[in-house]
Amino acid sequence: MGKYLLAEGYKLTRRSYLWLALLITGALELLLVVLFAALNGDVTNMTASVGLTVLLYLLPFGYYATAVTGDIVFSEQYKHNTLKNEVAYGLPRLRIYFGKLLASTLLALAACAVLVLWYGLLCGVLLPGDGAMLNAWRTVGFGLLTALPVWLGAQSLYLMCFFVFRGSTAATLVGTGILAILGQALQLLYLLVSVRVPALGEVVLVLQDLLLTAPLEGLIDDVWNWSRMGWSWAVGLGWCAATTAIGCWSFHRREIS
Amino acid sequence: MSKPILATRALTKRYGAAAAVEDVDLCLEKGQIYGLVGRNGAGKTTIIRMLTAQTLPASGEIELFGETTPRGLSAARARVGAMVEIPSFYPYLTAAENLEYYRRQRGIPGQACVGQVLEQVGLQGAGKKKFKHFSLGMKQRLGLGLALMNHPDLLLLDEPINGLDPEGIVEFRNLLLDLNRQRETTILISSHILSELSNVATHFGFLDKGHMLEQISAQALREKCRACLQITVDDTARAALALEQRLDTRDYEVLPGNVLRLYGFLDRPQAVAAVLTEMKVALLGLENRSANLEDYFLGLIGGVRHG
Repeated sequence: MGKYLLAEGYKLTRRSYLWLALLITGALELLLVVLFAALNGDVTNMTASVGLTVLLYLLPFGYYATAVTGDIVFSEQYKHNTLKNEVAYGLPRLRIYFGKLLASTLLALAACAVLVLWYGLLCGVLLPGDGAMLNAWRTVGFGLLTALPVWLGAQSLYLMCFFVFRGSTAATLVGTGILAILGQALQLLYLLVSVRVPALGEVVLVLQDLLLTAPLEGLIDDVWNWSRMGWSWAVGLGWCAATTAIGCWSFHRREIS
Repeated sequence: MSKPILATRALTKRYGAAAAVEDVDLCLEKGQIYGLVGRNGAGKTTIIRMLTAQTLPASGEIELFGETTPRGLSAARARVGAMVEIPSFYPYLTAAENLEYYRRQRGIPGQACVGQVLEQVGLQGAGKKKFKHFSLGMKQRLGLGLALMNHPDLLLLDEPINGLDPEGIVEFRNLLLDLNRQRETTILISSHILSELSNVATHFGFLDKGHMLEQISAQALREKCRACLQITVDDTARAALALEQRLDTRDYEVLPGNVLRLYGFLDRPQAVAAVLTEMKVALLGLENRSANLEDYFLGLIGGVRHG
């Protein structure tokens, strides 16, 4: 597995897609902080620590960012027919699957670290200090620890889609659909059934709690909540296990062209 | 008989109800160059795809370097070099970067081997050109480079000379022969360019509609394809007697359908006809015959099909 990850690292660092994605996201962060600084005045007073905690509002973007990291790592292997170069030389399919999952997770963590540190640096430099940066970092850190497991679940979900569907566009659409639409669909279902069949409504509520997006809803008002963190880890790891099992099962018998 | 490097037993692959490959038995011993012959859709690529784990057999067994279990086969495949269909690589990487990626992935020691392989396949000048800008010939060369990078004991090559120019074909042939002679690399090569196969193969397997029709050594094939006079008569026993007594030759064979093949007297068919007539053998046909690999294959599958 170590060799596989080293090889993936070699390939990733040679993709302009990765550097471009980081550059664009970093530029957007710069724009946001410059905007905060420009608007500072009589009406608003965005200090460095407050600016930093704005990151908590941005955590849901992390779900969708895993589509990009998954795509960068999977590298459209079906389109380019490159998987045959791996299976033909005896690399077990499980190792290929877990290699891609681990590589995309490590890439996502590294990208997250870079972008959070860059944002923190921008806030520290461009916004007025208020002596509360350390506390703000603690709060953001706790929020990130809550978000990490569900991001990992999202990463596994997208990777499963990349392995199951031949095209990366279809895979991204399905993954995003599951993340973005499933919650709305369950909400609608709840409204339809809860009055006539309350028991079914309860089941739908439980299902809503099991969605990847659920643990981060309302996080901003309730960051320091250990039970939320436990919930997030349970949901995130559960999705990770389930989607990985489906992805491995699908890839195990897949025809490689 | 030494232990086979590669063997398949009753190897079968089905797509729905249709069998792409059915009950194929293959056997390659160390040092052989095995030419897999068949028209498009005969099952050549499917067999190689099963050997390289790209597709799973419906039934049957694959033995590679004595291994038959999935785990054993996985380990054995590390000793195989393969080129299946059109070589595919990451389009945004150069030839060297693509090879370096796979070298790291497989844990092949020594970064220098990438340069050596590129030189071996004539791609040392590819430089910073990305794979997406390669010609088909360059892609074939890079595919062969990947197959050679791990110094394989067994090479599986599917239509490897497609897209190569004449000079490339000669280089490729010499490379294969060098590998076979110097390293005793066993090679399975499929192609529909039979003239090229006949230049390198030591053994042949003839496939049609997913079935293995015949496996034969190149030497035995040469024997079968020897030039001869093919004689059709009413009585083969009397004709044989005539050949032995009057022409003093035993270099002939009797085939079904009252046919004899006489290996000799190719420039004197009139003399043969006269002897047979003298012995009161009714001569129904007499023709000069010589077959090449293509004729032999077409004969096996029942001639050229139209439509």
